[in-house]
Amino acid sequence: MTARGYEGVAAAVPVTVPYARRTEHNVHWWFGRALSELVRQSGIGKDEIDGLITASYTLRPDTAVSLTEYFGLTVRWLEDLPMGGASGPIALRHAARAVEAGDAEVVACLPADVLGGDAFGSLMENYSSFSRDGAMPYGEAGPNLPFALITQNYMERTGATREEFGRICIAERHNGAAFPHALLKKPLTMEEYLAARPIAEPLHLYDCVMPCSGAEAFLVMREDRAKSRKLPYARILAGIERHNAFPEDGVQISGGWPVERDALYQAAGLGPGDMAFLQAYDDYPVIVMFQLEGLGFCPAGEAPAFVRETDFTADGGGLPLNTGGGQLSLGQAGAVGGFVGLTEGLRQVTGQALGIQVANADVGLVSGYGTVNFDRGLCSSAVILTRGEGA
Amino acid sequence: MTADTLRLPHCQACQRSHWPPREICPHCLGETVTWQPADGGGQVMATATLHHSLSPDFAPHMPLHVATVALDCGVRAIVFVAGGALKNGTRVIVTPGRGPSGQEALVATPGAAR
Repeated sequence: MTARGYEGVAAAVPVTVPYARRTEHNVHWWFGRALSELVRQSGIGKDEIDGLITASYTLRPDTAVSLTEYFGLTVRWLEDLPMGGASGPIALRHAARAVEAGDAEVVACLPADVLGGDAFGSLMENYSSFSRDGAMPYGEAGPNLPFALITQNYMERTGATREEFGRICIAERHNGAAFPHALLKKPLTMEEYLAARPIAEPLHLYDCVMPCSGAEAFLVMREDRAKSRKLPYARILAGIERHNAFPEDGVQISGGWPVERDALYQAAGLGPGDMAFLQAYDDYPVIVMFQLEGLGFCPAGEAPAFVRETDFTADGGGLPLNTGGGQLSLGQAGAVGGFVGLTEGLRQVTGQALGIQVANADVGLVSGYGTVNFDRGLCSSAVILTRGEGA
Repeated sequence: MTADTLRLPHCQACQRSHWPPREICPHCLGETVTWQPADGGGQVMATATLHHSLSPDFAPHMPLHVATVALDCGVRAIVFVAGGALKNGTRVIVTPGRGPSGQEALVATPGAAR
């Protein structure tokens, strides 16, 4: 299979609404803050937005449809993504195709979730029927158990050590210390990482993201509109998604990226060595290793060695990884976590970093992963972004 | 057959089992799925030890030993491990049992090779 690029399409106006561990607001407020920031920062009126794509676990019983009425939006293209951590790159590729085809002129991509306090537990208890029947009866309503099993199997197969996972977490915290919206800004040392209390062995405290509330947003439109509004924008060179890849694997050892990787790089005319940064989904560090392997930065099973040899800090001259600190620094606001890498990637290629700006960030890769329906994340996605004119 | 016998959803069209339970067979999309006795023999693929749980049912019972088991009948399941942690590759017998707070659950016990 080959992938096709997105002609004449711009992604612009990356917004991160500052996250909170506790919020008195409902999720609609978080959506509204993201939407009003899009309008304020772009100068594009609410009445010009004719497409909307949302992602949220806590919007129920409401949906994307409800939000059109809530915010007084009249749209002709509307989508609601249930792909969790994979939803950011998927939102971009769906919206970009709609704009390229002329089905919409300006699409607002909006995720928001409210997950402080008890909300996280109740979400997890109602996450999926397979999780309810096949995973929750075994001690934990939530992702720690499946990811402990995935991590333990990966460590056995590859010889990966806790120190190698720690290197990822520590580099992300370094990047997050400079990012104004990160909830966890304190630098992390290897001693602290290794001494953390066990949560679901082999996972310990700093391997796990912190549930919180938040929202992200960006706009997709034609390049000529972005230029006429003088908006710095990114072009999308390629995008892929793949769901329920390798169902025969007894324990997950890869996402869906290996199936789509050649199509992704072929469409972009580039390879992994051309990427100025990688924004990888980081709910747990083992999943970052899956992406390093699956997206071709190193061979399958060799991420531990690659991690030992690579500087992942945004200003270290190696492979800048999760340059805004990732979810391990920001916290995880449900499905919003699937957009953290995308808004950060858009800021990097347009030279608008809020924290550390990667040098020569002309092209970069953003990857997503998510939705643990039973014992593994089923959804994988990735997009390659490049600097547009005027950025 | 005794109460200890593992029972799994089994497709009458393609004669394959699956897990977690479905009304439609994921292999052939057959509609006649019945619960029937299955071979509980299998092998540990991965293990975890829980020290923390969001669930008040489980929180008083930490730590809990859990494993992914590949059953010889071709399905994989998350199970409790009886009697402490096991190594990957250990042969086990999976039977219906009870979790620490009394709820129904699959439990793996170390067992002889098939």
